Amino acid sequence: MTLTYHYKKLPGKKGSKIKTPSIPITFKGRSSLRMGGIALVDSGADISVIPRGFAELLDLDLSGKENPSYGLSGKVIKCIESKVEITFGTSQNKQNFWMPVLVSPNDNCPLILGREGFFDKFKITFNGRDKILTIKPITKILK
Amino acid sequence: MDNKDKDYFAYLSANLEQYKGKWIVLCDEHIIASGDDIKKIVAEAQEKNPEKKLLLARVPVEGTMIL
Repeated sequence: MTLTYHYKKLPGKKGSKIKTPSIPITFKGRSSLRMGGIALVDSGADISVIPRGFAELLDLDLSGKENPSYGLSGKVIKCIESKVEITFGTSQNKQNFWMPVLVSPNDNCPLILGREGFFDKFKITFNGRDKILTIKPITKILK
Repeated sequence: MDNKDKDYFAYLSANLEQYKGKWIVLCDEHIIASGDDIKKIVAEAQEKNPEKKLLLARVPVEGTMIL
């Protein structure tokens, strides 16, 4: 069963709007807190990223390896390798699994769903004309 | 549809112009906290709405987002 999400219109440059593909996800770490978050689906990101403050709220393991990471600016930032449990979808088509994440050193980055551990579980289609994102599981996810 | 879905649809239709560059927390279809510090705004939201499901989102700063 395919999950369908509409792009979100966000404020852009000088009053304009940009439409971005993002989905609601519930995150869980070692704490009892289950926290909802809107995550940007980013096929250009090698791996998912969450900000430090969010990782601390969830009590993720932050003792992992440092991972030098970089974006468009080329500036290297030191992220920490960890993992988080995510749940999303509908009651008829619920997806739940642990995935690897990098924890950024501050709260300046959005929640990002990257390729490793996420894109490899689904057929993901970005319908740019209609501004719709579809996510279809391609394998049965075993817990 | 549960509260999380309602908050998601509220997020989709919300005008977020005034929250550029901030984190926001939605609960019961309203933005109940915003700011730069995730732990601080989530604590504020939990205090206002204990036991309720919260939805956190980042509103980008003005400009074109290239990650």
